[in-house]
Amino acid sequence: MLEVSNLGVRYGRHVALEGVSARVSKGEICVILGANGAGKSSFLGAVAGLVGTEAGTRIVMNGKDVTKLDAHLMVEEGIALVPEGRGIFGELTVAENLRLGSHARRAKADAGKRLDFVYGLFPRLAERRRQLAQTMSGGEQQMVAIGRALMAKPDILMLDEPSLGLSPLLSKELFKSLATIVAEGFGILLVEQNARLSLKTAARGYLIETGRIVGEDTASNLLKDPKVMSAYLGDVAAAAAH
Amino acid sequence: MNIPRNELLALGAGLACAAVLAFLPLVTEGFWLSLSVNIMLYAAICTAWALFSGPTHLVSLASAAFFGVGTYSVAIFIDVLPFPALILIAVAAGALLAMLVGLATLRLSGVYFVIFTLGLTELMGQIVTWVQTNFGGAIGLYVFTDLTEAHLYWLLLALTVIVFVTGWLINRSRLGLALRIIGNDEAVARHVGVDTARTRIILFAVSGAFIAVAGAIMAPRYSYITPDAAFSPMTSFFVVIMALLGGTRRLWGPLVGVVPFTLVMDFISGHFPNQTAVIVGIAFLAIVYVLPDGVTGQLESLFRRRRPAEQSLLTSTVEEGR
Repeated sequence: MLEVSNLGVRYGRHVALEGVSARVSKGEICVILGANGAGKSSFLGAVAGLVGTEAGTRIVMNGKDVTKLDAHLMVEEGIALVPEGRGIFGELTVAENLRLGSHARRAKADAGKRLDFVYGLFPRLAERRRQLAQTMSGGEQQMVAIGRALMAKPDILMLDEPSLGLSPLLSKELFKSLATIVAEGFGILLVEQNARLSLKTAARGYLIETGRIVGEDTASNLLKDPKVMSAYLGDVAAAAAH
Repeated sequence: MNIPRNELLALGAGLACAAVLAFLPLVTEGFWLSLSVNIMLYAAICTAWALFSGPTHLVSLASAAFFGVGTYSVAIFIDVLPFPALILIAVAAGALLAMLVGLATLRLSGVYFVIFTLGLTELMGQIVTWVQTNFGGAIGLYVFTDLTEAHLYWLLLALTVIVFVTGWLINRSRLGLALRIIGNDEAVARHVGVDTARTRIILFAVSGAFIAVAGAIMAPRYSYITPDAAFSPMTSFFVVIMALLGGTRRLWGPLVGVVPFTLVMDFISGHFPNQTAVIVGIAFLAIVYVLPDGVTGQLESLFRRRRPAEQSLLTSTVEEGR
């Protein structure tokens, strides 16, 4: 559904991404693993239309070339991003944050139904719909951010390090919710440092290193790959696997 | 559309207030009427200013530029066109200038935007001076009309009402909620599908057009229009101070600052004419330090703290983390 080919991003003379190709389909979780500074966030930013791309880049969404579209139009094409650090609006209530998500034209029609879906997915948000978002815990704020992105009626939901700053328990719950979302037919493109948890939930994964894709496989194969183990899962995991 | 009852009440109360205020020129004249014209003038301009600067958090010092453009729209054409037509010219000129500036400053924020708009005011004044000295033969222009102080008051009152209704309609529109976040995080605003560039330009144009109309209405009062007076940067500063004093989070916030500030300023400039600039500067500092959210913002957060019952009801389970 989302197909990115030969994506390039540079900031001045610094090349952040070069020749990156990836695809995400409906109903699958796809994870991009990489270290800090590998270009993961630039990749999501470029797809979302926030970061300018180099010539030769091609982004196709639902069969339509959307390479040059501005960020607010990417939303209309069905791509929603949950940015790193969540980007929720603390001075607004939970309900207002969610309502904001349905600002896009494509999201207007059945916003009520989707709100019910979000509240069903995260009952905490329903309980606290009138609370100011800034007074909520990190995990709850992440729910608000994901809920808001879902309100935009996306085909593809992109998340930038959603487990950042969450306790292991909350991270686990978060990934459980992502599995539920995918079961509803959404596609998810995920950028993560928490390799093990994300690979357990995802169907496929890409490895990104200094701006290039260096590996691509099913998640279960990546989990077994000793190189991946040592690079992204830490020595303990690698030792345990041997 | 379904309008909440409290908003309908506020709208009704506002219109009733305006209706009552419309009788003011019938019961008073001279000093108090003239002071009321000043209050009404700043009520219109500050509210119009806050339409743009409130949600975007971009402090515009271009109010005087729009005001002057409106004033000159009247001064240039007063002998050839009727007054209502001049108001329309002011609308067009103000909106056009605002759109150009909006386009030019799309990528500017913070202090860069402030400086740009301050420079714009100066530039407009200099251009008008240059044109007049080279092609006009005199620095100023005369504006003679039959409009009395009472007429100006009614016109400004009508303008204020229109500004308020426009602001209310904008808040009710699809853009309303999105506007509340555009100044907090433009990137995220775009993620939820808000065309931030278009929004910024449209808002600035609406705001600039209103301020230009205020300038046009005031032209007959000055009778002799000079660039120094029409494009006086003090206008821009006063607008910012009063709007910040009142608070820009609510549509009626600036109004809360305008009324006391105009009264106090009138007293100060009457009794301490030489110290006025110093006092204005100190007032500016004091407002920014003591009341960053303005009087209304301060009251709101006080009010919020005063209602722990509702808060604890909503957050009955103890917050973990934060």
